[in-house]
Amino acid sequence: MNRFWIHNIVILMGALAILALGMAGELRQYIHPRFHIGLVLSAFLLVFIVAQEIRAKQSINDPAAFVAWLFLVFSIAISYQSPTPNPRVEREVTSSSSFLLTPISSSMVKQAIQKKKEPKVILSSTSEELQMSSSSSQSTSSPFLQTNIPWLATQVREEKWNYSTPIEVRGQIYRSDELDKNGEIGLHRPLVTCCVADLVSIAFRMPVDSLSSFIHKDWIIVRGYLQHTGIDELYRTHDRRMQLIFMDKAYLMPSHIEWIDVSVPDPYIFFAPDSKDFQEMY
Amino acid sequence: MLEALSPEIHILATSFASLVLESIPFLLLGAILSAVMERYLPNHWFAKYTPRNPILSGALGMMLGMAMPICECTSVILVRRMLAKGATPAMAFSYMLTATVVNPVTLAATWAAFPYEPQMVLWRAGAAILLSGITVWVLLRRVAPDSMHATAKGLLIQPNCKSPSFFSAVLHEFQPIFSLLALGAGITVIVRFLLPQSFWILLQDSPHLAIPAMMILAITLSLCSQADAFIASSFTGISFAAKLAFLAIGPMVDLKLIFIYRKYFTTKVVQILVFTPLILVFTLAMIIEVWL
Repeated sequence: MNRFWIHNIVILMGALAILALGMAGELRQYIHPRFHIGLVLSAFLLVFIVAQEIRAKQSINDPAAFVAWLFLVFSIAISYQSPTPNPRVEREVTSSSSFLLTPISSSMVKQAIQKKKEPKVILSSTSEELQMSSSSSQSTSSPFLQTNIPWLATQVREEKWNYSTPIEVRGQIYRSDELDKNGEIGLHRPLVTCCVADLVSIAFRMPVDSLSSFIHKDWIIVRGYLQHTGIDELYRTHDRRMQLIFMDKAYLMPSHIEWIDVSVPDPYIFFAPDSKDFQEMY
Repeated sequence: MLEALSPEIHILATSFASLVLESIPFLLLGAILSAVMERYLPNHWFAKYTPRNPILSGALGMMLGMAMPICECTSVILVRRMLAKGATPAMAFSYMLTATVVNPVTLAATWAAFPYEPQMVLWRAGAAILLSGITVWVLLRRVAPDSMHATAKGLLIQPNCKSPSFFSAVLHEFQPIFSLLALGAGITVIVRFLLPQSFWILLQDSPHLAIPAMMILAITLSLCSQADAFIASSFTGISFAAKLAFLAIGPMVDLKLIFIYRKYFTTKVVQILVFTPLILVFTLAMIIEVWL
C-alpha cells in the first residue's frame, strides 16, 4: 500500500472514530457537550474532503500530520470506555485502582443497574434523621434537593446557600492521612468546563463515624445538609489527573449514605452557563 | 478497549485525546476561513480597504476580535492569510493577540468566573490590549514588515499543486497546524502529568512566587481562553495580580502555540511573540501586586 492510501486512511480512521463516538453519545468522555455538534460536523467534513482527495488521487505528503492522526486514533482506542457489559463496570467503583477520570456511559449504567446489588445503606448518627425515600433516589416526592457538589460549592462560596435545605448529592470518596486524623472523608465530583484536560474536582469534607467503611474512590449517594463552618478557605490538592479543591466554608453532614455500584450516568459535571441547568445536573 | 494498560497511560491518552478533539472544530474553522480568504478575497484587498497607519490598523485588528471570536489556534492560521492578502503586520498581529480575549465569549466567561471580582473583566481586556499593542510595536521596530509579508506568502505557495480545489486547500491548511497542535498537546499532557505536588504547595504558600508560578502554569496547561478564567478563579488563595498574570499570558503564549508560531513565523518573530508578553505580563502583575 503506498503512502497516498496510508495517509488518507489514517485521516479517515480518525474522522470515523470521532463520528462513531458522536453517534454513540460517547464524546462526553472527552469534551463538553457544547462542542459535540461542532466536532461531529468537522468529522463529516473531513470524511468528505478525504473522499474528494481520493477521487482526485491527491494527497498531502505531511508525515507529521500522519503521525498526529495516528496518535489521536491510538489515544481514543486506549482511553475509550466501551459501553458493552463487562467487569469494568463493577470495577469502576469497587477497585482501589479505578480512576475518577474513567467515564461511565448511560448505556453502561442501564446495564449495570439491571444487575445491581442491593445498595448498602448507612444511617449516620452525626445528624438528625431526616425523612427519606427508601430506594429510589430519583423520587419526585423526595424532600431532598437533588443537585451536585460543584453547584453547591458555588452557592456556598457566594453565600447564597440556605443551610436548612436538605440535599442529595453523589460523589466519589477521597481519603487522605490528614482527613483521616480528623475523622473525615472528602466527597468530590469533577467539573469540566471545556474538556477533560481542564478537570477540577470540587469536594466537601464530611465527618463520619467509621472510616473503615469508606474506601478511597468508592462512589456514594449522600443525603443530609450542609453545615456552615465559618472557615472562609479553600484547601487545594492535586494528583496527576486533576486539581482537587475542598470547599471548607461548609461541611457535608450526612443523614443517609448509600453505596452505589455504578454511581452516575456520567461522573463529570459539565459546567453550564445557565445556573438552573448547572444546579439540576445530578 | 486496551484495558490492560496502566491507569497512567489511560490518563495521558484521555487528556491528549480531549485536548486534540476539542481543538479540531476550531482548527478546521480557521482552515475554512483561510481557504475562503485565499479563494474569494482579491490579493490586495486588505491593502486597498484597510488603513495603512500602524495605529489605526492595529486598532482595527483589535476590534476584529469582537466580530470574529475565535480561539488562538484559529487566529494564527488567519493571520498568515491576512498578511499574504496585504494586511499590515500591525493589524494582523493585533488581531491574533487580542481576538481570543477581547471578544464577547471570553469576556462573558471571565465575568461568570469572577462574580466577586468583576473588575477582572476590565483588567483582562485592558491587559490584552496593552500587551498586544506593545508586542506589535516591538515587532514593527525589530522586524521589517516586508519580510513578514514575504514569509507569509512563501509559506502559502504550493509549487506542486495546480490550483487545488477549495476542499483540498482546506486540508492543506488544516494538516500542518493539526500536527503542531497534537505535538503541543502531547508535551502539555506529559508536563502536566509530571508536575510535582510541591509546585501546587508553592502556589499556596509563597505569594511572592505566585506570579511566575501562575505564568508557568498557564503556559503549561495550554487552556482554551474560554476555560482558563474558571481555572484561575478556583485559585482563591492566590493574589489578584497572579490570577491576572495567568489569564493574560495563557492566550498569548502556551506550549502548543509556541510550536504553531515556530511553523509559521521566523525565529525572530517567535522570540518577540513569546518573550515580550512574558516580560510585560510579569512586570504588569508585579506592579499591580506591589502598588495596587
